[in-house]
Amino acid sequence: MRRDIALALGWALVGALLLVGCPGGEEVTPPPAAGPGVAEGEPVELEMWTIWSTEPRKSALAEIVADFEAQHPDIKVNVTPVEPDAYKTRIRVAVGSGEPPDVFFVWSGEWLHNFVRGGNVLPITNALNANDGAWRQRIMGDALKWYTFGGESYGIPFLRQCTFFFYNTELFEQQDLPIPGTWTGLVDVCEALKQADVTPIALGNSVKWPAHHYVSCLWQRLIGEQQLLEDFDPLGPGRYDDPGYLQGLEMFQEFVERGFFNRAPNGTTRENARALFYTGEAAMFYTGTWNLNNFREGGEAPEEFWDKWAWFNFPRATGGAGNQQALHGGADGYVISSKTEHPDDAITFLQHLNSLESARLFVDRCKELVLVDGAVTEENADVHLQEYARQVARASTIVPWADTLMARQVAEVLLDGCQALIEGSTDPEQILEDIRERQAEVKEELEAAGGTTVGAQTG
Amino acid sequence: MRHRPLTAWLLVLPALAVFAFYITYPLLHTIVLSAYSWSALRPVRTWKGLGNYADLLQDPVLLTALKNNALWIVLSLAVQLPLAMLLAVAIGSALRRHRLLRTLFFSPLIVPAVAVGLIWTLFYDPNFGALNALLERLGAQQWTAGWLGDPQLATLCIIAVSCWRYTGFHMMILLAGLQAIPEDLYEAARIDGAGAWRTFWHITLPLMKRIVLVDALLITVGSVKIFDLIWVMTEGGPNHASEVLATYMYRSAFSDDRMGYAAAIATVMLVLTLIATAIYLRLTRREEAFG
Repeated sequence: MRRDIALALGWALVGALLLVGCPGGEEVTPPPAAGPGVAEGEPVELEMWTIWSTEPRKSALAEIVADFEAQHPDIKVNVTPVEPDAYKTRIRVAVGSGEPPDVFFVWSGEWLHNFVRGGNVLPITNALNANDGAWRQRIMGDALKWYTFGGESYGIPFLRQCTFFFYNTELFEQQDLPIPGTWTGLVDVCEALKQADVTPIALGNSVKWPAHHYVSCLWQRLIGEQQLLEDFDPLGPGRYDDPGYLQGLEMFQEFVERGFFNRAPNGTTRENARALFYTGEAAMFYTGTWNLNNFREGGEAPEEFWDKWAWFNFPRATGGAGNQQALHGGADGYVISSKTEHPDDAITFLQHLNSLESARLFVDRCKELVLVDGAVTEENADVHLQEYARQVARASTIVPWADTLMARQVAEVLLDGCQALIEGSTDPEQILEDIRERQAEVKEELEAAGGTTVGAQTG
Repeated sequence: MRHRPLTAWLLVLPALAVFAFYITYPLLHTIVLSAYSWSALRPVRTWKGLGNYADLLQDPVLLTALKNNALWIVLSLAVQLPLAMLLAVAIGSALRRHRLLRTLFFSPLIVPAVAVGLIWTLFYDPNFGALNALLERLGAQQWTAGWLGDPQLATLCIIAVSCWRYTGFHMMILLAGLQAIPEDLYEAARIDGAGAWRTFWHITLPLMKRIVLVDALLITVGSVKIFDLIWVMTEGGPNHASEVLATYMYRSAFSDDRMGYAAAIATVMLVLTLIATAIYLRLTRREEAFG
């Protein structure tokens, strides 16, 4: 018994010592400031984190960085590629612990806004506007709008990803089907395909977000992006009282109930949804342009599929208040940490990354749409990418998906709700109710944490 | 030793320090953090007292997670323990001839959890999966299902994979215990005319009681903190149907950015694990008292 007491006392002592000793360790001593102390000729080092951890993106970035270092011998860029899922955690930890990289990758929308609200991102508005806005004008379309909060721009949108209805041209010809321009037209096409014993649309929803694209696009068509942004703003009133919210969810529910998707979408992976589309078991597949490289010649799709596909934009919702021609998509990009010790060098690097020269190099190596005017040419891109670039250039607006605009916790409620709609275990009213409730909680937490240092989305 | 307590303390101090720094401190720190509401992206932490725990009590997802963890414990114990015992006894009785079998049963554990998860996800796939194809071949069309996409079946499907993966491991633990039983006890029993069943019931089981308890504790604790297979196969979905405490904790921390809430969930897991350990300690202590 006495031994137990001695042991317990010993433990308490060790614990107390550590508790007293450790909190001090959290205050990170700032590393010695560069500048005057640094010897002449010693290059400045920039840390850059990216999710481009696979080929060909990885080597394309390496080439761009090598070019930059050749032009600026006084700056060295250390690239750390991290696999996307791990990145989401690692960058939060790095930023949260006060040791962020100088330049880092971001997804547009609330994901970026959250970093901005915490005061973690350096505004680069002045650099973008310098020389009569030469840099600003280089960026394609309205993409920069989604990197702008409260009048300040925080970084550069770099890669454009949009979602479209991809379809099997052979099956559409066989069934003599038109390209649907309206939602009712799409319903008719699906019904005809179903009658012909073809699965109308492949949906792999095991990761939760693909199904929500339907609801997100319907909301944009029915309600309009201005109203959406107002309701999605985690610090706004979050009313969600436009009748379009209910209507959009009901339209998707009807789609599910009429059996227009493959069996058990919630148990189907994205990979297997693609396989359903390749094999012609499904005639359509609503997905992002990140799949262009899978579908085209040399991609993962079987050879006989390579010339059998095309795409159309999400159909119009007749009578809806939104822009019926809008595309849906996000823009991956890069920002500079507000804690960087070399803001000017970091801006110089971003300018290089965002130059026409780097953009063309990236398009040539990766066959993806870089958001720089003139980046995609006949020399460096195939017909699909050129067509996609034309559509993006023509688009009056490109609206991000709902799950990227809503606060993360609220988006989760919507994603879960769509999964539950597919199961038939909830109804549209309930989903909206849950969204309102969660958003109120998030607002309360945000306000308790001192609200925000940066204004809401402008534009 | 008795008259030199200081030397003894000095000798264990390095070990104690490492333990305290890597286990005790983070553990206490987690409990402290669970009293705040904070995001990893903002420097401000707001004091919330027991607020996170109050929210937990009203959270339907937490209830699902607790139910699922309970299901994991009960089914893992009910399936893995008897099956592992059966295999251990069967293989132990003729050890030399069955070395290959022993390796075979153990091998699922060597495959990384992510690979196991992906392979079985393919197996369960509703459109191309081997399971539905098999059922269709056998004419059992009505038994085909969405498996991992079906909220009623998702957890059961993953528990089945877990049993497949871990039974061999528990067999090895029980086998080690089995080999520690002196052979002459069995000989004596045989001479007295005891059959296989009686020998098992009156010699093997009583002498194995301790190791079975240890193994049961391993299974229980493993079921409380199960994460990898679920995250790879369903991420806790569809619509939280296969969520457990660990996946919900991870989701809260790194997807929802509610660090304090995640710390509260971690504390709940800690308490559950402590209860399991306390029960185990009591059981073994009684064992010692009587033995």
